[in-house]
Amino acid sequence: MDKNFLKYLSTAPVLLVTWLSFTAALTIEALRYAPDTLSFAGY
Amino acid sequence: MKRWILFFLVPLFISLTPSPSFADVSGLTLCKDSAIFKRRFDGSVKKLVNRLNNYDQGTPSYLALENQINQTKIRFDKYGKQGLLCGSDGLPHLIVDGRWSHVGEFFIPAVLFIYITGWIGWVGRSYLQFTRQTDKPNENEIIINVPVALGIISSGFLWPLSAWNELVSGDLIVPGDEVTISPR
Repeated sequence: MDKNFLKYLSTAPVLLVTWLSFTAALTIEALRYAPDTLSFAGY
Repeated sequence: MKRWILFFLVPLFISLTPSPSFADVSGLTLCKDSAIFKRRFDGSVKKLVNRLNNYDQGTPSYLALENQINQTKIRFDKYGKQGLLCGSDGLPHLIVDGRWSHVGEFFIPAVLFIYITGWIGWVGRSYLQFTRQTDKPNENEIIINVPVALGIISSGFLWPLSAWNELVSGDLIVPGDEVTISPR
């Protein structure tokens, strides 16, 4: 991969968007799989 | 010093005091025994069933509503079974004083929250400390050194231990006269 492009991908705003998208997707999917997490309270 | 010890001990003793009655904390009743909780369940399902009548069977909206009805049933069933306490409003009230019988309602999620936020904070601090040792600290904050950052992130799960070690060795905090203050 081009070195400059790699450097662009490592800039803080790009990484921030990537990371937040990943976290959002992870949370959304986790809560779709296991909604109403208060129902875990008994375990 | 004595005051600080008391500051930590008093909440500890309060939280470890066994509760005299399990089912009745400050006027709350078990949700599965609560008539209003049951009424709320019936009401929620009824509302969804009424909406179900607006759609033809097998359409996406119909299936989605059907799914929602099932999830409502599961939710109320689980809340009832696991010993949540309901107030006079028929809604579950969480017990947050740390007693063991209700530890999953608030205490464990709270500790988990502090652990994860601590992880994030610890990792950020470690990375900033790494950038300070490089030739261009500012540039390393704008163009992240991803391999180093990933290494710090993945080892950050041990942050409570690392923080304790740094506190003991004196690296965690600096003396007051080393902290910069604004002119006054």
